[in-house]
Amino acid sequence: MIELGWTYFFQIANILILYFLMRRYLFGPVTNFIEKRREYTEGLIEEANSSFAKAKELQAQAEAELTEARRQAQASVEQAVEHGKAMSEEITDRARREEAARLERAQREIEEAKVRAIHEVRQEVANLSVQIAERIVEQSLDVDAHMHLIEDALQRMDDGHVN
Amino acid sequence: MEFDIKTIFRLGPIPITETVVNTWIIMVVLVVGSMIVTRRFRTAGPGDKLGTTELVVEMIVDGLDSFIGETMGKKGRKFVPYISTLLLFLVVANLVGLVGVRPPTADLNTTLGLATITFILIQGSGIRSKGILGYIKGFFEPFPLMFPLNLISEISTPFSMAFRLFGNIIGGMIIMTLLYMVAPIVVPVIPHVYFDLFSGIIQAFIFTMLTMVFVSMAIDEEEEE
Repeated sequence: MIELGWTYFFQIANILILYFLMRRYLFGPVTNFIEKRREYTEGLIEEANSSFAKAKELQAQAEAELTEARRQAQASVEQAVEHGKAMSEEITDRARREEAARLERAQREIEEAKVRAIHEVRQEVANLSVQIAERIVEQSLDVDAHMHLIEDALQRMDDGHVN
Repeated sequence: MEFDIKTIFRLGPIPITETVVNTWIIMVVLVVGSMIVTRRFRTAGPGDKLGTTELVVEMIVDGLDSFIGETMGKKGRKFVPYISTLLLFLVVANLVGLVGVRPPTADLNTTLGLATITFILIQGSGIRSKGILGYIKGFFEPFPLMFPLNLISEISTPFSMAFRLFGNIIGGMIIMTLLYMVAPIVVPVIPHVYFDLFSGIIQAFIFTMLTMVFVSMAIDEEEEE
């Protein structure tokens, strides 16, 4: 039970053989597999990180593009507003000018009508005056000389000299 | 006497004892078992899904790796396969008593053989770390008068380890045999749990732990320098 013999050497050899066999058939394959999977997982993580970085980059790019588009849209709106304002001012100006021209024309027409009316009234007054004078003096005067006198009288009336 | 180790057969003048044959059986069980449970590890791709058996095997191997790595440090990683083999062998060898096979560790030849390998590992690490002159000088520290004590301390290490394991296993075996003689049916169940399961696993763990500690002490000295 406690004597040493050949078994001692056999057992040392057995343990060493067992160590080599276990390393070959248990620890080797399992450790290799764990190592392979660790590398595989690290590769996946690296890939995910790179995809994430790329996505971030794309997002930043998209945001920049969006900002630029917004800026351009804002510029277009501002330009359109400016254009609208300019058009509105132009239309208003034109309307104002047309209105003024129309007013001027109307005033001119009024003035002309007034002059014409005054002339007609004056003519009428002259005729009436001649007839009245004829009736009063019962004497036919030279119409032309008569008319001249009346014109003269009317002219003086116009000038404010009433005799 | 019943505790004597039987010689199963002879190879010329060399007797092949029960211990050696039982060790061979354990070796076959461990190696064939390993070959069976690691079949998928050799063929599976890194992204493949593994079965429950593979996951359990992976957990055990990875657990042993972490445990030994933590105990022995970074430089002790190269000892992981040997220490793991030692632990698995001792656990199985100490537990075979449960199925009526005589544990190989109940033979001083086995435990002293294992302790001899540990002794060689300790001294080998010492020589590798300090160089042969530094190693010899280590026996005369802290002062030359300590040489005999240092020498005895080094030589006694494998004997203390071997006798601790052997004594515990043979002691348990003797007690169990006596119990079977006195009360063969129900009574031995609980002592079996203690002497074979508990004590067997604890002793396997202690032997492995001591091997790790002694070897890592030699490596630590190397790191300090």
